[in-house]
Amino acid sequence: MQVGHLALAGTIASFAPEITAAAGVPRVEAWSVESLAVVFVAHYLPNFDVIPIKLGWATDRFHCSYSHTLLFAAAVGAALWPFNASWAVLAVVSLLLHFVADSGSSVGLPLLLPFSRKRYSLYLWADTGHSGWFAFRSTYQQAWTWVTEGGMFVVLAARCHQLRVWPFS
Amino acid sequence: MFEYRRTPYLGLVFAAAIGFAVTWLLETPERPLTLAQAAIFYALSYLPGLGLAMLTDPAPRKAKAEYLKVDFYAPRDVGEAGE
Repeated sequence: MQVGHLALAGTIASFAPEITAAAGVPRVEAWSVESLAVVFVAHYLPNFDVIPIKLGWATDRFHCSYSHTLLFAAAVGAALWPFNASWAVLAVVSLLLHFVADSGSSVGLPLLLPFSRKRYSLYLWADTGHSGWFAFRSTYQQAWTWVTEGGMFVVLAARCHQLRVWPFS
Repeated sequence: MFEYRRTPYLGLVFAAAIGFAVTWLLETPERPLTLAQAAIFYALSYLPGLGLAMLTDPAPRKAKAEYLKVDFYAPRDVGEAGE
């Protein structure tokens, strides 16, 4: 998933009160600066693995590896928990939903690294690289990316309507 | 991107169905959607609608099959040597 991550992160931030209440941690308001910042940073955090690749510190295979694992999500949650439990919960949910969103890609997610190298994928679309115009264009030549990512924008609009946010206020 | 000329138009049909379903689910008598708000839902519904239409078109399937043959994460020096 590429552009659809934007809509998914926005949708997660819209559910911040429900997520924090369900976890029994201090409530965070929907689409507050706090919820948007935590959710967007956490949701995009796995894709920051492109930075060491671009800097030449890692090979292309580093993409969708350790940053897309359950251990990474747990580590981020554990690191945030002592400072702010609500942020930890929102971050873990954002990370797990990032993995769900990426599960359609053929590159597969090594969710159980370092315990298992098995990659999990629904093979809905072929992965064509971690960045660049070709990767972007070729992703949207495939049907399921439109279904899943476009669907997320419809869901985000529905949340705008439910929360009476412009243009549904 | 499409092999059939009908695909973008078929996307409109799917978009209408999705848009209708979404507005039916969200709209209440106390809070009817304005024309502009309904138009936003129908316009956004074209994105997944087009995707559903693309599922009936061979071109996206062929593109996926071609891309699946390529390892886009292969080490670059090996790839260049192979070429």
